[in-house]
Amino acid sequence: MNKHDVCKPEVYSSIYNAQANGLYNYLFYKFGDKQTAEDIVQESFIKLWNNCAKIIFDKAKAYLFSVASNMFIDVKRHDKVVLKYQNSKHGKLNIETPEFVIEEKEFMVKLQKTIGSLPDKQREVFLLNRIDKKTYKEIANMLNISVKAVEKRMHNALKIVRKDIGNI
Amino acid sequence: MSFQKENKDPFLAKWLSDEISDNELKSLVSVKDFQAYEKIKKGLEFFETPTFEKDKLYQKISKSLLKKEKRVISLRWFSAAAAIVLIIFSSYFYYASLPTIAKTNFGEQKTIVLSDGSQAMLNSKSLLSFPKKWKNKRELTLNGEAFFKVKKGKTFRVNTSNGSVTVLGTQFNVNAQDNYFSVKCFEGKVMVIQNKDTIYLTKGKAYQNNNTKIEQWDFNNNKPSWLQGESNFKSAHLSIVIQSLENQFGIEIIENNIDTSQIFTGSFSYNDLNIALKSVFSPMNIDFTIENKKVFLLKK
Repeated sequence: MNKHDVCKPEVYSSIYNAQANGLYNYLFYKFGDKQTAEDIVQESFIKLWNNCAKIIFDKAKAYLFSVASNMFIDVKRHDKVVLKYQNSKHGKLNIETPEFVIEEKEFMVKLQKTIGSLPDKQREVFLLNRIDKKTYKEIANMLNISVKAVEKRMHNALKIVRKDIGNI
Repeated sequence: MSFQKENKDPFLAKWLSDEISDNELKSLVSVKDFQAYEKIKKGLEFFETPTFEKDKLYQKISKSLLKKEKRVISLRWFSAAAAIVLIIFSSYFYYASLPTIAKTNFGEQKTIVLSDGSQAMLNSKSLLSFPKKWKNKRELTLNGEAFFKVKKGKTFRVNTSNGSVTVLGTQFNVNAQDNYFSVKCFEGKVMVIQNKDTIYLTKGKAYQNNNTKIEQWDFNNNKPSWLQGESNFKSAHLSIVIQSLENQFGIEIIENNIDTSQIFTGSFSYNDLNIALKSVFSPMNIDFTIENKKVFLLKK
């Protein structure tokens, strides 16, 4: 029996342990909504199980991300308005401000809001790099885009954030 | 910094990934901008994604998989089993009830051995169908021309749209075209039923109904001529001969103004199209030209 057989429960659960966080974060960056991200993680892993015989171990990660982003497209179509509303809820992000003094708090809130309203594609790339510490190459592989495209999104995202924040 | 250059060189991305240094960035942007970028970069370090209860979600997934699996498996097994049984039964009955069909194309001949050991030899462009298993009577349906060698046994009947031939054990030839029906008996005795007439043929006797013109005659070959690669006609309508030529050679004959109700007696051989056409059309005073599988007829 192949130890990389996705249909084997221990292989499947090891894939979950390795990929669930990354997938969840990615979906959260896209959505800005915890519940939706969780639901899609769940749906993606159920799909992985249902198709386990067809998926090679090495492709499981790519499969999960592509299934998840396809589902995101479905949800987005229904909930365009909700998404905007969800974006503005980025304020739920935890902020720890040990070094920052009170007046810095204002800056952090502004920063969150700005990131929340970034275009989806820029936001997901930007946060995958800044928070999950994924390299541009990793992101490119994950989203099936070129490294150049990732760099462009990073560059533009930072430019927009800087512009929106204004004078500090 | 021109807009175009900014688009081409994502220096901010490079700065974020430490591919270019702070000093390099300082040389590309204003002091104010640099300070802002730096502040944003630092500020971002304090963000976290909200906690995600990984184990809890895994339990949820496992539960829903189990539920699904149970339901799917039990239903799947049941329906699969039911479907297999159904397929076996229905295909058995369907298969048993289906007649076997033997077919020949233009210029093709085929010999079929029937389940009772009798033989049927099909001439070109003919179709013979018969059941997989015979119960009481041996019955077949023919469209076209065939020669039968019948083993002794139960009643053997060949049905055609023009009439039927019934025998006990014999050799005979049937040719059933649209308006043409002929039977030649080569051995034993056959009974031909057409419309309400019943005709008995013994060895060497032939019967034909050519467009309601009925004829009976004697012959002395012991096998139909087409088995030797020749078609024989006795006072047949030219249209029947043309049809046979077309079937044999896979050609189309364009009659133009030729009167196809003329009567033809003679034969043509299957070896050579040109010779066959000549042997049919020269005695009838008809010229012909061949152009890619099409034969155009012309009165001389």
